Amino acid sequence: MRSPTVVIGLLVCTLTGCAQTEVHRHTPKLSTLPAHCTTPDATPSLRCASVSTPTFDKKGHLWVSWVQGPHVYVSRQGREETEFAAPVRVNPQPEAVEHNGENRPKIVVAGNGDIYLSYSVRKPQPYTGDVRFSRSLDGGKHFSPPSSISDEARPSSQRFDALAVSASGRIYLAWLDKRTKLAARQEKKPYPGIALYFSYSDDRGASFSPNQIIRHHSCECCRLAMVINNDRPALMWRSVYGKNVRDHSFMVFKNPTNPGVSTPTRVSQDQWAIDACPHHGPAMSMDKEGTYHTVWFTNGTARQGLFYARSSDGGNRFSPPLGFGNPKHQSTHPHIASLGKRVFIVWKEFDGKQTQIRMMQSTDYGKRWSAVSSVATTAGASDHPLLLSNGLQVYLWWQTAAEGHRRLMLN
Amino acid sequence: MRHSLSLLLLLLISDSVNAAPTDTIKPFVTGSFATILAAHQGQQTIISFWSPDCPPCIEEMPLWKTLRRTHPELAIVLVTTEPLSTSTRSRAILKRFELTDIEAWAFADPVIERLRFDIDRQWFGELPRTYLLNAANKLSAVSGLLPEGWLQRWTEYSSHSEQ
Repeated sequence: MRSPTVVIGLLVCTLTGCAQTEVHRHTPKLSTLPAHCTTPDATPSLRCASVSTPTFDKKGHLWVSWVQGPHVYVSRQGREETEFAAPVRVNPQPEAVEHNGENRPKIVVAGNGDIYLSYSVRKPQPYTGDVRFSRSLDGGKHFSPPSSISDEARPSSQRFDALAVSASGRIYLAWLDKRTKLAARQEKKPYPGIALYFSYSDDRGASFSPNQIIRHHSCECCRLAMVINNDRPALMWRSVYGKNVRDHSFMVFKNPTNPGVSTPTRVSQDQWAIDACPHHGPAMSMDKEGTYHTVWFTNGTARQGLFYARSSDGGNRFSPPLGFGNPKHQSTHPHIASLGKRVFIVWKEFDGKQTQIRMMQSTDYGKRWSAVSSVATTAGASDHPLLLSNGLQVYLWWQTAAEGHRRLMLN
Repeated sequence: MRHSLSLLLLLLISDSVNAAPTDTIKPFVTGSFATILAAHQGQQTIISFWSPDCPPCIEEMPLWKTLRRTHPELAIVLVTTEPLSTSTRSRAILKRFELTDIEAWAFADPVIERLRFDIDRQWFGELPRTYLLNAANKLSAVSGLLPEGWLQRWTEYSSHSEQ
């Protein structure tokens, strides 16, 4: 579809005499995926991914998961950065797998080498989905047929999954679930947002615990952030406060398998009242001291833009929000990672011509921050930027249509 | 491909008589927002950005249908952010709400940031995003569902600024 897009621009201008010629003259040839990716029988390749998700295993090998057509693929990076093992197909049956910046396949590698994968599938009814789980116990050679996480007699809707594995090997899946909203609707009761649910597995993903609610009234369509702190999941998500104020909540489970009943911490009083889909979820990292570092976007009455806050008391209190990014350049989709004392934040900006990944870093656990620098650019379409660490370095991972994936060491 | 190109040509010809409603969806590219505003100068116009993935957007669909009946003097333009090349779900929704003859556009640039930058730098992608153009060509933006009483306030403001 690449060349027709350009043709459209030119024709529109010929027929209507508008200003688009200018823009299209500067349109890069590859603002979409390469042509060889768009045929139904295209060979599976990371180059053909519009979004991709990387993770490191304990040995420092990089694994990546992506969606191509109706399938999820996994591949391990070789010694060379551009060298990838033959992709392994996860789901044998074609599925409408969600693959956008907010809702992408998740991949984690446990300490024992097991590979766990989750993803959301779009169901035919609007705004409904199905969270699927698959595992590989043979080092990524084969994946189990994916199974649905829902334990309902008639599954309602599960989407926006988050996946993590603890040091002890317990697998956690959290997601946004519609069942409580639908139940409320049946009783003609108002129910702002939907609900945050979870399940865990103690047998390497062979079976999962009954689905359990974490908290009511989450926002419907934003990615979740989950980390494991000493076998207890910590979560950050966009909540619905009152009727429609979509600010962020944070909580740590009371114990490894029980979220408890305490009121979540409101990370920031942004007061973003909106009956809409922000499609803009938070990100979180925990450093070795147990400090939580969080980033998010808001357009509230109290503040607008991208913000950072940290909590060094287990999430009871967060520091005053620190704004970053240039809102005139559409600063969006922040991600965060920590390594020792160092904390890195990246986000996207668009300067009118190209998309840039901007970065700032702290060398003192997030107390003071460096000036902002640009670390990557693209002229075409791009995924959200992601940060990951192998315990030695922090890397930016960014999938772009024109260039494919890139992995950049940050320092 | 040839087929889709000829379809696009047809579509583009209808684009040249911009104000006329069409049962096809036009490609929304850089400059399209200005084109829409220019075409509707001096007319109270609603330009709503929506997507099939946005529940509140669908909630608003019956409103557009009603408004066309109760306020035929208003122009309504719907722009789906679903890519034009794969806009089957958007088309189905327009059909379901009997809006196939409304002025409809679909994003036709894979670089969403470029479109948003061109439309409004203060828009961060939340949907629905509605722009109200009044008769004095003043533009206001609303994120999310339109608040209660918006139509009356907008109309009053519009007629006030006309005087």
